[in-house]
Amino acid sequence: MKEVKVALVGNPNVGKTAIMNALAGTNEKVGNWPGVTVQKKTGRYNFRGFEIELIDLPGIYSLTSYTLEERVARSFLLNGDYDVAVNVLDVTLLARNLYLTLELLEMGLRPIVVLNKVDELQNLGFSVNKKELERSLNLPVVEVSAVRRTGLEELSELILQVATGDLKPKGFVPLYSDFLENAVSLIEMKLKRELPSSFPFNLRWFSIKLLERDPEVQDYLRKKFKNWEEVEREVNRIEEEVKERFNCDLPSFVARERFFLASKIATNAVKSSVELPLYTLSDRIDKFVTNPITGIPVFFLVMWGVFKITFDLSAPLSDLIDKFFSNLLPSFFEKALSGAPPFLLSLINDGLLAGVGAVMVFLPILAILYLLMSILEDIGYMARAAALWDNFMRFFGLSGASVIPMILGFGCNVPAVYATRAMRSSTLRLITMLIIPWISCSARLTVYAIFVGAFFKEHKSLILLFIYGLGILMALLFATLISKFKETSSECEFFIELPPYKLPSFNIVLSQTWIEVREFIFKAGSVIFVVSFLIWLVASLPPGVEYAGENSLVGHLGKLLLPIFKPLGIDDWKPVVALIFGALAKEVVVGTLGTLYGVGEEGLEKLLSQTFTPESAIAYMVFTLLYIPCVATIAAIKQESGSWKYPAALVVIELITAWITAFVVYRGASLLFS
Amino acid sequence: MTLFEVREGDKVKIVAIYGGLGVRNRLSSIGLYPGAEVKVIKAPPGPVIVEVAGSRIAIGQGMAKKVEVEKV
Ligand SMILES: Nc1nc2c(ncn2[C@@H]2O[C@H](COP(=O)(O)OP(=O)(O)O)[C@@H](O)[C@H]2O)c(=O)[nH]1
Repeated sequence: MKEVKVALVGNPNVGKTAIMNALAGTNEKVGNWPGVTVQKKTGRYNFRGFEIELIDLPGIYSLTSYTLEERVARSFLLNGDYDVAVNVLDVTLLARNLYLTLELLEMGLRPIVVLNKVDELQNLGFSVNKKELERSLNLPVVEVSAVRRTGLEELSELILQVATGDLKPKGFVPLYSDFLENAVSLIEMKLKRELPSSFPFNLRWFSIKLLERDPEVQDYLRKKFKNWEEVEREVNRIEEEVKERFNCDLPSFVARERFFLASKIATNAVKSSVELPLYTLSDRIDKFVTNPITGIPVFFLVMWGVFKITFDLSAPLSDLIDKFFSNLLPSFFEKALSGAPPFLLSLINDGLLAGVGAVMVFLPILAILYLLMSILEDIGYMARAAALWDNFMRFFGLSGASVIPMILGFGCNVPAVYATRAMRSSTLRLITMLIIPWISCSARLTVYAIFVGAFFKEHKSLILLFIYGLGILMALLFATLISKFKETSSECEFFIELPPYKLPSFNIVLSQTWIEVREFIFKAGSVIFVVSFLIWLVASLPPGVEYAGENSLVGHLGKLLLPIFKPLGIDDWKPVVALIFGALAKEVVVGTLGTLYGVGEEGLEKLLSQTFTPESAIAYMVFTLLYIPCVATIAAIKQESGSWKYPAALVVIELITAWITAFVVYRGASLLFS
Repeated sequence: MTLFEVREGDKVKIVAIYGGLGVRNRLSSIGLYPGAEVKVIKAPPGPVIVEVAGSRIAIGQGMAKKVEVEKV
């Protein structure tokens, strides 16, 4: 079968994902672009005996090399590892979307132009003149509605025609004002004089980018051209002239010209039968939800609703799954394999089933949270929440879009890491997912509950407030620190587009949820499974020892590590082993302590009050809060950042920070309580 | 006057944008460049929301203070 590779390029929010879903169904893969944390989606489908692979480039507003997303998209388009370029436009915002189309044409690309959301355009009382647009752009144009699933066959048809060479789009060369054209020719002439025969780029495009002071293009020239300085002087001279005559800097001037042309083409193509659409209701809601006084209560109400629905719905399901894997199946195997060596039984029950169970109990929470998050995104609330929090989060080098993942972290860190997908800026997204583990998830609460019950009955809320506050403080501190290194100030996520509110389209929401849950099972699931198995191994080797007992490998490990914990006031190896098991999931800490002290969770409180002092108890809680993320979170971060580098660094940093903080808290508490 | 000091319903023209090249490029590509006219949908507190080229754009305080505008 012949393969056709298609690059999808367009602004954020134009519906590229929706088109991919409509064409390829759930046959979609999510990964990362090589070497960077930018998400890459690909989808495949068969059409007329061809296998078509859709490659979703990051959503971008322009093709200048200022952000990671723009650089990824541009270098992919320039390197040409694809057969057909498809430019997806939101037809309800035609002028703005054509800006990118003009940039593509400048580069010498001749994409198929997809006008998506025609259904909405009609609802608004507009119609688009496709022929007129085809004529002005000199490119094939197809009207599509990903939601209504119209025009898709025509699109596939066009893709094939271009791929096989039956159709050769000509493309027009965007021409701007005389002044700009003169400037471009001047630069072109200067470049031509020294042009190497192998010059790989469109010269006109290159000259325009120089006028826009594109960093990558400038660097390229600085290295390759001898008379770069002369070119630079010329650009500076042109800039002076533009400043004088047009009261505008050169890059903005070029952008403005492009915008004028895009608007002109759009006005010619879109016919209106009614007055301009005024989303007045939408505007009124926006005033309410993005004003801090009214917006913050609304935000917390929404988040509360999300948590309530998620936990109410998922708890019984998770319990059922947990029972199935930790009671039902194990007792079944105990009966079925009676007489088999205990080692084998333990392998199946404590090793394999516990591992599968550890993956499966996450599914209800993940699926429901995903679903709710996609709905919030689809109706348009996410963008408002991001706008609401932007000022505050910028203080810590983050953006408003980081708030929702962070809040979700209080429920469970795993879906919180996945929720960062809604963030546009890859750098800020990476930082956000790295700080999520500091936020105290509900699993950690089980550990605090037992220690607070044993030591701080009178000051319960105060201690919990301290622990939760410490987690938030660490997260924000850490964010501020990384953003200093990553220079997020140059990130351009400083404005947020607010799409009109709308009803969620359930087929999009459902198929996205399904795709993401499936990805979790296969990618993160395998890591979780392997780690659970390893932990089982160290707990049951050498053969014949009591599971996780004093003489098992993990028992020895606990004793080996004990000196490290002595300064935190911990004198017994058992809590140390519990922490090792806590890497699986933080709630396991309590269960392990119960097993090791042989008392079950009920008698634990009493026993702990003998082994710990209040000071070491609070140090142990702080350590549990801050030390390594659970394996599912680690796996999620690996999956989302595309590299082991980040979770590995995180583990090291967290361990060190946890120890130092616990030590300081232990000392502080010793002074305070004495 | 900056975009931070506008009032709801104002129509303003952008005079200048103070910020790095990246910032200016980004804003121009969505239609916010010196000379562009925008309508103010919402003023502070909270983000400023403007209508530009048919879409609604929310701009944070820090950025809004860097956009010099005049009433039209
Ligand atoms: N009315 C309408 N809305 C659409 C259509 N395609 C996508 N959308 C909506 O546009 C928004 C952005 O879509 P998405 O696929 O996430 O955009 P992407 O950022 O380009 O991947 C979502 O709310 C979709 O429901 C369409 O054909 N018609």
